[in-house]
Amino acid sequence: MKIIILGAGQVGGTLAEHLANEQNDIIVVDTDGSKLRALQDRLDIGTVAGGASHPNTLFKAGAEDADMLIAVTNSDEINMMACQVAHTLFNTPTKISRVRSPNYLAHQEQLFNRDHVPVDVIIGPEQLVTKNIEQLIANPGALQVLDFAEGRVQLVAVRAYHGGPIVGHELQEIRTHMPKVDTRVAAIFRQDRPIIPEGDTVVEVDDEVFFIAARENIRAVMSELRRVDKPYKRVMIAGGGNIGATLAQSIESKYQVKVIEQSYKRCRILSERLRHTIVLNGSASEPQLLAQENIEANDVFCALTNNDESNIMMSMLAKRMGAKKVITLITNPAYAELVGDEIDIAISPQQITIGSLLTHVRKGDISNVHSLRRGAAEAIEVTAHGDPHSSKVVGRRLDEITLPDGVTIGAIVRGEEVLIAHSHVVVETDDHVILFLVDQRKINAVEKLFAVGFGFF
Amino acid sequence: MQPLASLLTPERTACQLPGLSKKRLFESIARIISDDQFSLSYDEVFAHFIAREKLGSTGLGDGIAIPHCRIGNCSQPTGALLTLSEPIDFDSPDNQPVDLVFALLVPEDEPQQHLDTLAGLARLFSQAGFCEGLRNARDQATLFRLAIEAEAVAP
Repeated sequence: MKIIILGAGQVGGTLAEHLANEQNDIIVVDTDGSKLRALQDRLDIGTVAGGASHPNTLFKAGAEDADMLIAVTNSDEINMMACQVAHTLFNTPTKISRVRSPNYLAHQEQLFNRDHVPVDVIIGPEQLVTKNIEQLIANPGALQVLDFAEGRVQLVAVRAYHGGPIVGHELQEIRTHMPKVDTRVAAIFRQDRPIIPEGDTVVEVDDEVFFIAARENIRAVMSELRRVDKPYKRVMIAGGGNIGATLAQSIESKYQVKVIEQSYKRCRILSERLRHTIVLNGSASEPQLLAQENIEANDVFCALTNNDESNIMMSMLAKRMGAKKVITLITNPAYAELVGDEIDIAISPQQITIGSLLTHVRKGDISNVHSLRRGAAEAIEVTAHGDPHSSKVVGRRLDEITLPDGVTIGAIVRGEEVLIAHSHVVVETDDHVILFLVDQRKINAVEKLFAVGFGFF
Repeated sequence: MQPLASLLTPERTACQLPGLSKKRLFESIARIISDDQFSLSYDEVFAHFIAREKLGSTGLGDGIAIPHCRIGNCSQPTGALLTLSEPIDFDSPDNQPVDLVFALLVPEDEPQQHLDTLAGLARLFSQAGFCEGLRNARDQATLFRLAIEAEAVAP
């Protein structure tokens, strides 16, 4: 595919990196020539320097031939305008735009359609990040909680601890422990190396286990792997920006929420907007403030300012002062690799955004892509189309489908019904199939497997 | 097999078009079909072909593609034949670029009949001599004549 990426920032750059390895023609556009050169030094891509929404820049980038435009510059307005130009002048089939401002997003459905602002897919990173953190707060002890099929099925990452009934035992014993709960362990990472689990795989302490189950069974399965934390009650949020405020708003009816924000002006806005949240004016890197607000009584401390260094330092401080769990927003991937045990969960907005973008770039009818383990692994939800003649999966039992190495099918969602992947399940047309790839480079083989054959109308 | 004569008109035949890219090929196809069939709009035809192609390539291999899709406003199976002066990348199973294209639009009904039509086309276009002739045609009239003169191939 020919894809034009507008903006060579962190998301644009990481996306180019992902896609350049997948037999695509990638052109990256940015006003900053030095950013483009840096990208071009390490990736096999084309670049064009210029204003991303200008018709002549898009023309130079090959918009006449492009299959897709992905607008991820820092400006919402430039992103939208670029989509408009691509639509009107170049008839670009798929236009994806990042839009940050909640002001635009509030009118998403009216604004963004063919007859108005022609953007096919809107990516709102702040919304995605907020949702992600919300899930983590709702599932104490999980390292990651990802939705498939509108949340009917979830993929959960959890670290195995001493005391989990299944730890030290074979996976197949889960069934005898919990005959009524169905789950599938999709992958295990042991000292960062992936293991494709079989029924006789023994779970070890410190394994990072990815399992798939219907939402209502998540807690039960987690309890097999570790002592389950009590549901969280008190949440402290550092940073009342976009993400902090949206998170507070969406969870304040279920939890006791405190937001710490440095700007007095912003505090006033927040206290008007939030109904049950306590808004504190101050800095979360002040030990006195944390002590005064009983940091040790908090179940979760979320560092969500727009400064990585502050987020990391205040998280470490909060943890040392007794916060039970810290969730930290870290945009710099190098920092995310550096931080150790002091930080329980590092949230990377780019990685979350990339997954959401990849959903639309991948071939086939894909409803969800989650990029995992810093992009090395991937979980996807793909709809099977066709009949036994035109498809390589429809009409086949799962044990008759030859999956690429390192790829497992975790579950199938058929309408409202959730079927955990067992060898006898037969794939039907329109099934949503949820797959886990321990190696993201297998994606082409998975796309090919699910591609409909020539005879599909 | 329905002979090509019933699927094709001279207006829906284009000889030695500059191919340029997959996207522009589908623009050409949409233009040719919508100019000839008033019930079908350019945007609709373009979007339908793109959507079908996203689910899996309609490349046959050996430089041939038969993109096809269903469309509601289509009253009867409608074809368009194009040869390209420069082959274009098409994600074909053999990774060969494509320079010979037969696009087929069919109505929503009669699935089995359309499958037969498609299978007939695939058989026809798997004959090397036939394809060679089409590729060598230098004008629209010759291309059209060669296409409709072709005999149906038995399964």
